[in-house]
Amino acid sequence: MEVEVKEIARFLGGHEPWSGLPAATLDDLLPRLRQRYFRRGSVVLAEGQRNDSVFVIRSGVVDITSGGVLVERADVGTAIGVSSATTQTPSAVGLLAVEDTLVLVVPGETFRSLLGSHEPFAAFFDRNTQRRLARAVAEQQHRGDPSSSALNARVGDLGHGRAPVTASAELSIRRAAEVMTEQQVSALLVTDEERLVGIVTDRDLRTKVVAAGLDPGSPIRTIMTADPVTVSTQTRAFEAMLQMTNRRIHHLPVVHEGRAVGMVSTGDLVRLERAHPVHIAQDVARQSDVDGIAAVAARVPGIVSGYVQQGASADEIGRVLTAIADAISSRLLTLLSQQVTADLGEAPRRWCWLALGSQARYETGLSSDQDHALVVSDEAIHPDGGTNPEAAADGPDVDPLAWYAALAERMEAALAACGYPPCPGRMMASNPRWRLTQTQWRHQFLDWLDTPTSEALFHAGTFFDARPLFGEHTLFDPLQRLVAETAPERPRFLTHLAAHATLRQPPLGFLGNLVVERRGDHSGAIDLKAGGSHAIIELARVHALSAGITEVSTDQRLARLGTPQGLGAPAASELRDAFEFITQVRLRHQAQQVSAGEPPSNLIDPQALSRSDRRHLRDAFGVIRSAQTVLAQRFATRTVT
Amino acid sequence: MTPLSARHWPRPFDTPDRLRRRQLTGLGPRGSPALRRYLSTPLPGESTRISDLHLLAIDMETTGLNPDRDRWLSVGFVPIDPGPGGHEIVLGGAGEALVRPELVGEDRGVGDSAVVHGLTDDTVASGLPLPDALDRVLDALAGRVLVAHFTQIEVGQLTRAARVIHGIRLPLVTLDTLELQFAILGGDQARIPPGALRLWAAREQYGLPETPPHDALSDALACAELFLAQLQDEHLPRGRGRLGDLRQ
Repeated sequence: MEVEVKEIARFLGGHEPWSGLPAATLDDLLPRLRQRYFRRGSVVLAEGQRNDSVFVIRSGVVDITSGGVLVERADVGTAIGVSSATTQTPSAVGLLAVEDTLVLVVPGETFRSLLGSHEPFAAFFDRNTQRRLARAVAEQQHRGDPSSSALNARVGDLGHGRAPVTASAELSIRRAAEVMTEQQVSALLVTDEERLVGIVTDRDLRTKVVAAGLDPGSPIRTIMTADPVTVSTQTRAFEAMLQMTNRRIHHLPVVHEGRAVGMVSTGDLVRLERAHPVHIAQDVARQSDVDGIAAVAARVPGIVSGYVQQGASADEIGRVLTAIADAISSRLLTLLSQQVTADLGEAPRRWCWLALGSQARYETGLSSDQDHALVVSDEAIHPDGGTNPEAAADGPDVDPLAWYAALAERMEAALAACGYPPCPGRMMASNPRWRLTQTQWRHQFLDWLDTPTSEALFHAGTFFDARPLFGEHTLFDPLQRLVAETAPERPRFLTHLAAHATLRQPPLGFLGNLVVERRGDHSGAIDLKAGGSHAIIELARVHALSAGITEVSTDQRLARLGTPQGLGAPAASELRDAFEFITQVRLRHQAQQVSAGEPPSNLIDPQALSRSDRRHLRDAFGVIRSAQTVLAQRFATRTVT
Repeated sequence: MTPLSARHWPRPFDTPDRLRRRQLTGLGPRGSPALRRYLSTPLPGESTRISDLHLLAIDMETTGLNPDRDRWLSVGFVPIDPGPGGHEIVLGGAGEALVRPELVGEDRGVGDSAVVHGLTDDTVASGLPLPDALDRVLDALAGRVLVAHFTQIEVGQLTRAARVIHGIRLPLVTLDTLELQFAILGGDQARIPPGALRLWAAREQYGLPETPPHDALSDALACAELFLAQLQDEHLPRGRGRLGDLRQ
């Protein structure tokens, strides 16, 4: 006689992946289960101990440790002991009950048979990192063309956050007109107990009342359009737009289950279109002063939050944010260089403004600060427009670079006004160290390559990821060539850079479990940047520099490195997936913070993530760790650390 | 008519297992197969190691506390066996049954207790006849220690059913999680907060899942889980680790 223990059935039914098992399988599983209890402080499974059971935590908390160090804290619903029970090898981790803990014990044999017979169940525990990550990335991305994302939004998600202005059919025309004026709306929904019965627009007031001389004391029932065309909350914005265009109307009531819940107007949709990055860039280009640009820039975080919520990929978001940052920088440089010219005269030499770091890599995020530098030609411009090989032609008493100092200082302030905070490390053109002539830059770059002190490595990381943004791009090209040609021949530099790149390790324990910060303000959080996306950026940089690759975008670098001489196709593709995934999680997190009015941060509480995101994150960090190991071996970082 | 053996008072050195052997001898050809099996299986004694005990957590729902007056409505049970790493609850051995009202001498309905159990007369009427319900419990209980939270109800109903149906005194070895909790909390009535000994309050002290009590099997499981927790509590007076040490 077998009896279903409802308590346990209910528990498993509430937790992935058990909840996805067919009812018959679950019925068959339940009688095979046992329960054990572990007192706080007792060992569930010791490191190196053989284990043939999977434990599902029903109550309590278990620390997963490696060498006595906490790698992850597992709580209710989490399955532990999975890898040792699956592979039937001694446990690579220790499991320690840190609270009184009740566990369901799934016999190893039963568990393995479930893995073998239920695809989604196995997928949940699948250790094939790349497939899982790639799938997670694909799931997060939206399917549509990014250029149509805005109008793909559903009417219900346009988020006006405002109840429609409604009135009863018996309201007088005069009062209705007053309400519309007070509420600043151009249409009024006529309802009967929340049910939509008609619509009155300002056009009705003009044509049916004013022009036809109707008594304003009459009820609006006499002028309303009864049973108007409506859309549902699920209608796509572009469909609503088409409806209105075809019917030559400007308002569409939004109805949900017969109730009027909102209204869309052509104005809303035009504004929606304007939220598109292309329009942002156009808007920026139309502005004639810093304040105007700053006003447009202020719309960026909200727009990006919308994009993230629509499931745009991290790469896409990074490019959109970079395109906007580029547009803003370029427009500011145009305006400010005109100002400086008005104040100080023509620029004495040709110059090129460089974007550095994330903007250069097309990876601008919501929390990106400003990083830039200036290259000034070695040669002064002759009054006739030609150049003089003698730099001294600037004149003995004139600082040839004063003009650029003025420009850079104004840029720093203007970018700050546009929401890009100054770089705390002052890696900006406003810092005279990073406002150099071609020759000075050349010496600086060679100095970093030849003498890889920790400061040199730090700077090389920033300045070797540079992209000419404004001015004479040709001034920068020789510098880029210099790095691409010289770096592969500086093994000492590469070794140090590789050692530097492996300093920040992913927040991961020995067997692929998330490690939270244990001290300080960030206790309980993991840093998605330091050992995450930034670690991949550094890995890609070392490999790219050693291979003489000039691309600066991490994704492009990794794409180019997918050769046998580079990282090999599987490793490169895993790293691209990991980078994409971590960045997506980070952007989503930051978009939420922005929506909540908080400053975007890279720290996230793993408990705030879904179980599957946590798992994919572990996989992504695992990919980083193995790539760091490979990097350390290839560049023999042992010799310098 | 009551057979002679059932009229015996326990002897000073009597143990449940001696009682069991005596009852088996006295049973003769009577009794159900389940009862015969129960009486043929040795019961643990006071000197059995705690770590070797096989137990069965039981919860019964009844119309009240007096076995002679109040009816047995339902039962749920789940075994607790020694495993390689300590005692384990064996979910595959779980059982439950509703008990059909007895026809003779019992005219009392579920009454007010329906509010507590959610069991109505109609539901109960679909249950097992009392002898079958007893057999089901005895089948599961053979060779095991009966564990319950406040064992009097279960012990009272089982011994009464065995007496009425088979005319025997049912030997039972029991452990009461309520008494264990009392001992764990210091064994001093005056210092134990009111309500702390209740099943769900005791469970809370061990961080066990908070699920509302609803049926006999869930409550039996709840009791079994509490027992596992108590076994690992350093405050449990366990003497030299024998069954007898758990009952002072």
